[in-house]
Amino acid sequence: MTGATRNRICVDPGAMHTSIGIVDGQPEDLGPLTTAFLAAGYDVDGGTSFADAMNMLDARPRAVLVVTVELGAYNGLHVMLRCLARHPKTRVVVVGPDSAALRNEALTLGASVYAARPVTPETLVSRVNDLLGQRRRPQPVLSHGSRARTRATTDGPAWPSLATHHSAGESVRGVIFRHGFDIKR
Amino acid sequence: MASTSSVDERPASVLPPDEIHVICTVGAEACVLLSVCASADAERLARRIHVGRDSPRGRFLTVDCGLPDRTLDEELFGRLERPVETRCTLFLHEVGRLPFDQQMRLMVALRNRGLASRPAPSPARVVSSTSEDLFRRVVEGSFDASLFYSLNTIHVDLRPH
Repeated sequence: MTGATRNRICVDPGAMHTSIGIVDGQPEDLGPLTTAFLAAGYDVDGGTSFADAMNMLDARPRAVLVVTVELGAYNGLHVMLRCLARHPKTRVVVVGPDSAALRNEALTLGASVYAARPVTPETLVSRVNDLLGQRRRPQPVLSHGSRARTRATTDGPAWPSLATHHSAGESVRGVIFRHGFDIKR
Repeated sequence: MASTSSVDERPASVLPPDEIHVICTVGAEACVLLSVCASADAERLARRIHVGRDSPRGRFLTVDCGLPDRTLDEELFGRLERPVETRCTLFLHEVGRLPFDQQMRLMVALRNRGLASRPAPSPARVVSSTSEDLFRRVVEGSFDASLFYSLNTIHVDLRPH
C-alpha cells in the first residue's frame, strides 16, 4: 500500500469488519482496488476469475460484491446471479463499460449499482459507502475521469442513498434536483 | 438420428443443477451462451432452458448462424425486425459462425429490439451456442467483444477441460 493512496482514502469507522468481495478480470486493477477498500476499513477478499469468484462465494457471504463485467470467457453478471441465488442479501456493484444496454441489464438482473468506466478506486469506495448507508467524511480529491470529477464536486453528505441504482451522471442530477426543491420549500 | 441420440446421452451434455437454478430463477431474463463439444447437444439444452421459463411459454425459434449470408439475413434479422412474441426463446445455433459484419448488425439489432437490455417483462430470451472457443476468437479479434459479453450473461461451458 502506498502512502499516497493511504492519504487519499478516508477510513470510515462504520466500515470496519464489513466484508467486501472483489472480482476484477484485470489483475493489475485488483491491487489498487483492494488497497482502497482495505484503507477504508473493509475486510476484503479478491479474485480475478470466475473460478475465484465461485470459491469466494462458497467460503462465506459478503456484504458487498464488486465485480467487473469482463472476466475472460465469463461475464461478471453471471457471478452476480450466482451470488444472488446463493446469498440474496449481498449487494452487488457491477463495473463495466459505459453502455446503457449493459447498465440496464445489470440493474434489471439485480445489481445495486452499475459503475461505468472510467472509475477510480476511491469512487468505488464512495459508492459502496453510499450503498451501505454509512456515514462519510468529506470526499478525497479524485485523480482522473470526467464522471468521477463531476460526482466529487456535487456529491455531499445530504442524500448519499441517491447514488444507488443509477449511474454516476443520473445520481448527480437527482441530488441537484432534490437540493433545489427542498430549498424552495 | 443415431449419432445425435448417443451424443445426447453423454453426461457432459447435462446442465449443472446450480446453473439450472440460476437460469430459471434469478437469471430468468438473461442471455445464455452454451459452449458445447458437439453442436447436437446445444439445441436440446436450449430447449431445456426454454421449457424452464415461467408459463405461458412462447415459441422456440432456431436460427442457424452457419447459413449462407442471404438466408441468414432473412432468418435472423427478418425475425428480429418482426414484432417479438411474448416469452419466446430465440436460439442462435453456432453463433461463432456469424461473419464480422453480421456480428455488428446483430449487436445493433439486439439493442434496438431491447433484447440485450430488456425491461421487464422480457419479450424474448436469447440462447446462443458454440462448439468453438469463442473467447479465443474475441482475443484474436475475429468475434466482437461487446456482442460476446451481451450474449454470455450466463455462460455454461460444458466442454471438457
